[in-house]
Amino acid sequence: MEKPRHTRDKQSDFNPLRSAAVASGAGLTMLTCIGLCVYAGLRCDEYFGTSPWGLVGFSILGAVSGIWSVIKQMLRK
Amino acid sequence: MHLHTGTHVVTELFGMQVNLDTIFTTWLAAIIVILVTLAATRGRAMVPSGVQNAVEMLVEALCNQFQDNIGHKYRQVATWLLTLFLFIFTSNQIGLLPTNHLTASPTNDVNTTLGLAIASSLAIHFYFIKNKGVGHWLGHFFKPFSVFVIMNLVEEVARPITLAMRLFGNILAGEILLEVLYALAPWLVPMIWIGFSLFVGAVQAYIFTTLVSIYLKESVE
Repeated sequence: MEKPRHTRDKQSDFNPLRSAAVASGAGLTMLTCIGLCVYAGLRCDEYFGTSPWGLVGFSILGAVSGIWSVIKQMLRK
Repeated sequence: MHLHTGTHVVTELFGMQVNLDTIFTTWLAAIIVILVTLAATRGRAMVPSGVQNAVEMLVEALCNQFQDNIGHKYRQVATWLLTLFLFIFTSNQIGLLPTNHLTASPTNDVNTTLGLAIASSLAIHFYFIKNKGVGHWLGHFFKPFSVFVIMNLVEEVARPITLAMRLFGNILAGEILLEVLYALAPWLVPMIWIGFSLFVGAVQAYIFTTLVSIYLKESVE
């Protein structure tokens, strides 16, 4: 029996390689955001002598930015 | 065991350190891409065959993918993306050539991958400004709310680093493993891994180009 048109279109639109690219992009971007912000926090503490608050603040910023980035990438069609 | 992969022939030019092997193999990759495209486009036939057929199939498949990712204005950036794919694909395979001399992939040097990623990132901003103007470009950092500007800026910095590190890490790891396998079992195992690396090189070129095309969507649509 032939599948309904809308089901067939959705299946033919699915591209596993593209999905893998997007998923790997999302995961790595999150990791990079956290890494960048941790580095910035450490440098901030070293420069201004604010240890550990620079690291704490920037780590939170990195985590939030990473999650925001993943949400944006997942929302892109 | 001393690994050669990841070490470079370094010289100094204008006070900067330059990886000579990367320069040579980058030029080699560029020349191969130019020769293949010249061979494919000279004396084109209505019914393609040989190199023209292979390149047309590749270009058509990639352009369909770009159209899915970017939309109907994909032609504006198609040349940039196709060049990226062909260059990265060729570069990834150069390191698999069976010789000890100057044949490390240009993409196992972080300078190359970071250069490609930063150029792609700049292209994304260039096309955004070209298509929508400086006002919209500045405005998109403040979306959906003004407070998101810091997170958007962190993402903008993280994006090229992510693109570069993925490509660099995959190709370097593949070549290190090839060298280790060659030392452990010189005959069959490295050949299987070379076959797999050919596939990995193509997939990595595809992933880099696909992600850049997805990022370009906002700039072009």
